[in-house]
Amino acid sequence: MRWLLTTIVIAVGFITLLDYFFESPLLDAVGFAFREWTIILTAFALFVGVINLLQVHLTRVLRRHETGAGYSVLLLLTAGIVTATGLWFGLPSEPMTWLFDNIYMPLQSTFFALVAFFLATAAYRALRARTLETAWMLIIALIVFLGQTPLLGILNEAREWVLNVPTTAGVRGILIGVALGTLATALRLLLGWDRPYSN
Amino acid sequence: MIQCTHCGTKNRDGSKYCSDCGARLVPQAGLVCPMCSTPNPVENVFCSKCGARLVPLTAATITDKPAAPAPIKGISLPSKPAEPPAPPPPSAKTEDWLEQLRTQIPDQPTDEPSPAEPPTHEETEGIPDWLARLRAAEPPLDELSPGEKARQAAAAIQIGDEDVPDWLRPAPAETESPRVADTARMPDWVLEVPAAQAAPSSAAPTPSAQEPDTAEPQVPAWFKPIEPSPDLPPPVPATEDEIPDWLKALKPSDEALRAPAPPLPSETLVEGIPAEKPAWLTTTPYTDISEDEFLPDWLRTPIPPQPTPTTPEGVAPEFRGELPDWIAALKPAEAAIPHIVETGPVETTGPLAGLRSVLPLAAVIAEPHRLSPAPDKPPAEHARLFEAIVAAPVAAHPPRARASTRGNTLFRALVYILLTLAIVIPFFVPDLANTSIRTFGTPTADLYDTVATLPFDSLVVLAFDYDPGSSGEMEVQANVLVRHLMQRRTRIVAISTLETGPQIAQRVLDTAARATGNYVYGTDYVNLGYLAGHEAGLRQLALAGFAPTTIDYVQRRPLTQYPNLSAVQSWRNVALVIQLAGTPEVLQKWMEQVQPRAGVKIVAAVSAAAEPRARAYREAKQLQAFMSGLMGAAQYEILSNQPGLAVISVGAQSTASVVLIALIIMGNLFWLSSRNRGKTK
Amino acid sequence: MSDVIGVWVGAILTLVVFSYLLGDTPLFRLAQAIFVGVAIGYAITAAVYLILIPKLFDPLILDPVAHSYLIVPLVLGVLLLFKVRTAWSPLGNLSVAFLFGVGSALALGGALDGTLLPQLAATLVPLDSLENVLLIVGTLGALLSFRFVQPTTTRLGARAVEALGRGWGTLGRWFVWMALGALFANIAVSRITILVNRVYFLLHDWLQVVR
Repeated sequence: MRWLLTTIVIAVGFITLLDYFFESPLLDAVGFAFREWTIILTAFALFVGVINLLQVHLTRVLRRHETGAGYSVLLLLTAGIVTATGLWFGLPSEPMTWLFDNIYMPLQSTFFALVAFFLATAAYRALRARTLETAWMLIIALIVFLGQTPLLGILNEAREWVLNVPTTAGVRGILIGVALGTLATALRLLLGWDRPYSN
Repeated sequence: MIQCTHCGTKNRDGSKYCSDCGARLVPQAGLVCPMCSTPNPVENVFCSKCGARLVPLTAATITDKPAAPAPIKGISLPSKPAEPPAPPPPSAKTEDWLEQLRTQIPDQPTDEPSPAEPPTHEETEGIPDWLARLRAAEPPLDELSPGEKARQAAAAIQIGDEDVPDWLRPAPAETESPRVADTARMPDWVLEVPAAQAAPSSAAPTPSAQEPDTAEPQVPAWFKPIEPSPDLPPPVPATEDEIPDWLKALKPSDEALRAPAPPLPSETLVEGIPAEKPAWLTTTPYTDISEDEFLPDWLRTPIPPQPTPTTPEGVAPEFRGELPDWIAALKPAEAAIPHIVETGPVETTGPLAGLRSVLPLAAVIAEPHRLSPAPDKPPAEHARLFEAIVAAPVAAHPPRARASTRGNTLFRALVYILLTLAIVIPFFVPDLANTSIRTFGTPTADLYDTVATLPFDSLVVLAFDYDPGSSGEMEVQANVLVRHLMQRRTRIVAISTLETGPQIAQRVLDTAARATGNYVYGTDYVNLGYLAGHEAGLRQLALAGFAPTTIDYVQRRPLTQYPNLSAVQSWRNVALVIQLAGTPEVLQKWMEQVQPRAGVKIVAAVSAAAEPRARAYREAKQLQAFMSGLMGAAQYEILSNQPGLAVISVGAQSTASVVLIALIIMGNLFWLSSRNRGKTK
Repeated sequence: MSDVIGVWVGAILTLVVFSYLLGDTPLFRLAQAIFVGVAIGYAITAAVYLILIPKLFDPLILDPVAHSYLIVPLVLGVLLLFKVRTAWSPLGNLSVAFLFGVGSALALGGALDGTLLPQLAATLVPLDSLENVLLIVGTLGALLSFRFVQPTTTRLGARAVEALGRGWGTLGRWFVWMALGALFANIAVSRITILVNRVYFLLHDWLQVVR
């Protein structure tokens, strides 16, 4: 069975890759089909993730004495209510819009906003210039921070220069390095040297 | 294939030497050791590998008469008549007593039973009827004592007349038959055997004296000695050198052997049995055997223990003679064990008694470890010390200094309050930073110029690629951009690569449309919903454009039903793509999948976290322009002359940033000073 | 009215989440559970209404003959669902293999066509200004700083080149540290902006004390 999976990966991958760089009616048609199927499979992959999460919490609910079982009950209840509402009323619909605007968005935004408080406490305790490199990093961070605020005009320009030249150089180096790593990893998958899809 | 006895390598037939180790190969026609399955040459008596006896000590191996083809009974042996064994070559070195035994062993009867005497038992089982009846007649064993059981078993034996062989039947004293003459020849100790055996079977009918004494004794097949397999070569008698010393020790004395054999009821069993009980049978280790009417004389008299020259001192005598012959035959010959060392402890007990270095056991395992007491204190002192330690009360740990925990909580509360005040207060102090927002030469200005120079009624694709968590930062940018686009009367086609994007897009578009007043959904803007598949979906969009069957998010109608906007199906009709990227990754996906192939101008409004990457793409001309974060939105609002939420919020953001900077600087200053103080101390 | 209720619900939930600043309270856990539940429900609804119905079920129901090729993704999708149970997991390997094939090819093409080549081309700028010099030095130095091999050659020329590379990599590491500092600052600014927005929501939309 492993050979079949590897063959599929290599065949599908190379067809998609050829379609990426060359134009041909047959390649276009096959590549189009592959991409359409991938789009549809995204929904099923989402289901797999959701079902897995529900399984975890259901298990916790069934083992009543486990800590957090009550919260899992609430989670499952909420998921059920929202799913039923969404499947019944559809998307978009007023109930789903209300749920999204008044529950989903405030909750997620506030979770993100909490990070600012922890950044503040960490700024005092953890961001110490123990070495020259970390001191250099903190100096640049301060320039970018201060340049963000409209306090000192000169800091705005310094911020712009720091971000445009040396930071861009560093980010570009990181981007190229990451791209090379992506190339290597993808090649290993397409040549069948890595097989994370078979267990 | 011939298997090498040294390394086990299989060699071709006909090979003389092993192809792997070079050892001489033993032809497969030799003997196979019953213990280790090693093939041995035909002439071997003992296995060359393990020393087990290859030639069993059976009567057929020592007979010098050609035996008649005898039936082979039993479960594992073949049923065809065996070839008469070849007479053993006369050997001058063979012991006389063995030779005599060989000559006395009679020929075995043929396989076919005589018609007058049908077989008394099933040949496949090999159990005589009397034994079967004995088993059936056995009373419940758990109710009787062992003695009672034996008596009842003896009484229950119903041996039929036909079951008793001639040599076991008591010879009638009044008849002049060869049996009488045989009886007269037989020693007492042999005669007592049938009498003793006849006593338990007293209930059985007395065998008739008219029992014909046939030349063929009625020996049941199961009693007959097992003939060797016809496949095996005839056994070779052992020479003097091959007989082990412990077997020689059992040799009867010459006098006992030379005595004439006493007659027996059956002629076939009479010859060869000495008149006097041989010495080797008289010696018995059991000196405390009580007089018993069942025991012959030769079993009553204990054999005095005779030390053997090869037996080392201290060998327990109880194992001599206790082992049956077939086990004793398996004892390896000393010569066959090349690795026996001459030094080492001698095994004193067990079947391997007398051998050296058999099972070297470390003494430390067997002996208990003894703790040597302290030389200066007696053991009682240790016990008292231990008791004192156990009885001593456990010292409670000093309570943890609560000051540090209180200090941490206080500090955290202070920081949180400071940060909150830094954000709240600017909302109550308006226009705190409005005029000092710089817009000239910023990336935002380039973006503003790009949008401002769009032709009237251009078709613009707006990608809402941020999740609700980032909406606090991205929505101000989206609002100001959409407002500007609507002011330019551009047709807007909204799309999103996140499943929550369409909902966000709809809210922003509807809010801006309401604010503008004359923007109609379906005519001036449409929301084409969720573009699933991440890279695959984006690539599909880049290569194929918007499919005509694309369903919109609000009214769920295909794109073709929006004629004013259906031109978006081709990228050539799209003037600008504006991506609202909440994360650097989603920006990169557009840059990699769409930008190289779509051939369309792309600009972006990104989160502050994605700004460094956006700058790199801008420098590489993949992105035409961008704006980032709240400051970018505020700059855009100022450039649009429509200050709004962004401008109001910039002040709060600036003061919060200052608080953060102050905390970083203070933390480092305090740390440096405490480090210096530590060094000076 | 529903807007008022909605604002109150949003405000209460915002404060409940902010209660985490006082510690891991049960209220915070409640808010967490509600958020995950709502996210799950919304994701399922979006998957059904935004992907499966328009792209799979509607075409198959309306015109099964013309869209018969959609049986393949349907079968692959159903097989993928077997991944939820470990015992049945091997059945989903076919779909996973297909996804890996397409995904890795797209990632490879995108990395090459969309990042590597344009960024390398952008690095090749004329050395006519300090900014350009810094750009080239910084980009190549950042690349060279990702060295994890020990020098192996002993020839003088090769050793000199290796030493140059190591030195350049050390310099490039300083550029990488600059990039990390800028990234940290921008992430902090982004989170502060989101906090500002939340506070504004409480003050303006809920308490209405700010214009």
